Amino acid sequence: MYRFITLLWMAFGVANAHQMSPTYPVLEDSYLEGISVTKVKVFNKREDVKYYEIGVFDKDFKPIPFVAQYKLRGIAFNEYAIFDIYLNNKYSKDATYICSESMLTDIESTGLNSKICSKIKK
Amino acid sequence: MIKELALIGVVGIVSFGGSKSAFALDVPITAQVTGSCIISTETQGTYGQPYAYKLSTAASDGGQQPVTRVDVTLANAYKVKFTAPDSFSSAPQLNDVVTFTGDTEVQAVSDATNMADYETDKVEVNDYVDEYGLTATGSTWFKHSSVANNGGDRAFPSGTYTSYVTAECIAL
Amino acid sequence: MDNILPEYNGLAVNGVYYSYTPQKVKEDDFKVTVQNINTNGGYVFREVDDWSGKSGGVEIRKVLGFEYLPREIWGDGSIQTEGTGTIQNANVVYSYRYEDKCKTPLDDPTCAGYSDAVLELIPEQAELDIYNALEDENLEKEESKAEYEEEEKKEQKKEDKEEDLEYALAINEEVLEFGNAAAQNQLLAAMNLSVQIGNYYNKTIDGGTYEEKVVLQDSELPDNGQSMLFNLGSDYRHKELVDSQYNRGE
Repeated sequence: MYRFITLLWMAFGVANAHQMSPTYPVLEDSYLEGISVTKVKVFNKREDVKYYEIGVFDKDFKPIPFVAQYKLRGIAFNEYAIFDIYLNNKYSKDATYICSESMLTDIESTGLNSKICSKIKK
Repeated sequence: MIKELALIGVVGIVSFGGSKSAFALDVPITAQVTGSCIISTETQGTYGQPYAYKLSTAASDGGQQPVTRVDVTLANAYKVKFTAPDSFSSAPQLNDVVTFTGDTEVQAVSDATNMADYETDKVEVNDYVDEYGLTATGSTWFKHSSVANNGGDRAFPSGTYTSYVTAECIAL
Repeated sequence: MDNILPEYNGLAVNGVYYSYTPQKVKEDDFKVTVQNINTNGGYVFREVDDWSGKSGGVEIRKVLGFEYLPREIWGDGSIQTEGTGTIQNANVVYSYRYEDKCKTPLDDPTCAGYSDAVLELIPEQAELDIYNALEDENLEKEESKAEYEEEEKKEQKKEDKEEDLEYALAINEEVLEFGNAAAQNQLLAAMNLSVQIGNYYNKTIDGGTYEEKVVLQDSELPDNGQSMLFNLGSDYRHKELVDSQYNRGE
C-alpha cells in the first residue's frame, strides 16, 4: 500500500535560467587608494528565485573579504543586476573567483540551486 | 634671418609632403569578448514511490528525472559541477536515517564532434558530485537521478519532501 | 516538401530543429548528415555530425536559424548516415510563418482572386424599370395656355369646395365636441348624484360615553408650611434678577 498522500516532489522549473557575466572580470584601481574594483552582471530568468548572493573566494573556494553595496540582492524575474565589488589590494592577489548563488527561500521553488563563478583575470 | 629661413624651410617641407605622399593611418578595431555561462532548468523532477520506504526519480519507479541545461558561449572557459541531493531540504519528522544515492549523466548535446565525449570524460569527485569540462560552446543537457531509502525499510511518513540538486558553473 | 510544409499563402521558414540519438561503438567511424535541397540548386542547409571515434547513445539537439526563406525554395529533406552505426528517435521540426490575411480571397482587396470572388457574391440582377422622361405620357400632352388656365380654375373651385366642406366639418366637429362636453358634464353630475356622499357627513360612530373612573374625594389640602421659605426664597431671587436688569451699570 503506497502512501500517495505524500507529495513527492523534487521540483525543477521549466526553462528557468541563471546567467552571470563576464567570465573573466578584471580588477581595476578604484578612486580609493589601495582598493580595486570590478563589476559582474547577474541575470535572473528564474521565476522561483528572488534573491542572489555574491561572494568572493580564493582558489580553494574559501571566502575572501570584500565590499559591495549588496551582498544579498533581490533580482526580479527577467531582470539583471550589476554588482560593484571592491577588494582590498592585500586580498586581491588571493581572490580567484566571484560567484553568484541563487537563494531558495520558497519551499515550492524548483529543486535546483544554481551557482555561477567567474574567474578574476590576473 | 636664420629664424626666417628656418620657418620657410619648415613650410616647404609640409607643402611637399602634402602634395606627393599619401598618409596612412592605422585605425584599430578592438573587441572585448566576454563569455557567459547560463544554467537553466528544463524538466521538473518528481519522486516516485515504488515502495513505502523508497523514493526514486526513475521513470520505472513512477518518478521523473529532472533535466538541467548549461549553455556556454566561450570554449574551454567553464566546468560544471553537479551535486546530487544527500538530504531533504524539507520533510516531515523522520525518525530513521535516510540513505541517498544520486548521479548525473549527459542527456543531450548540441555539438556532436566536440561534446560527444563529455560523459566519458566526466570526473566523479565523490558519490554525489560529478564534474564536466565544457570544452565547446553550445548547450548541454544533463539528467539527474536521486534515490532515497528510509532506514530499516520503514515507510516514509506522509508529507511533503523536497530536495535540491546544486549546479555550479565555474570559470577555468 | 509538399507533404511537410502546409499550403499557406506567403509561408516562409525561419528555423529548423532536429534531434536524434546515434547508436554506435566508440571506435567506429560514423557520420550523420541532415540536409534540405534547394529547388534553385544546392542545399538550403547541410549539417554534418561527425561521431567518428565518439561514444554513441547521447542525443544531439540542434537549432538552425534562417532569414525567412520562402516555401518555394525548400526541396526534399533527408537524414543520411555514413559509416557504422544507426540513429534512433530522429525528429526534424520546421519553424515557419505565413500570411493569414489572405486565408480567403475576400479577406483583403490585395489578395489574389479578390475581384472574381466579389463578382460571385453579386446575385443575378433583376430587370430594372428605367424611367425615361421622354416617354412619359404625361409629358406627351401639349396644352394650350387657355386650356391650362381653365384647368387651373377648375382646380381652384375644387379646392374651394373642399375648404368649405372642411370648414363645415370643422364646425360640426366643434359642436360635436361641445355637445359631447355638455353630455359629459351631465353624465358627471349624474354620477355625482348617484354617489352617496351624505353618508360620509352623517356618519355616526357607536361609542357611548366614557365615565370617569378616578374620582377624587373632595378634601382639604393643607398648605405646606415649610414651603413658605422656599417660595419666599425663590420670590426674592426672582426679584433680584428683575431688578438687576435695571440696576445694570450701578
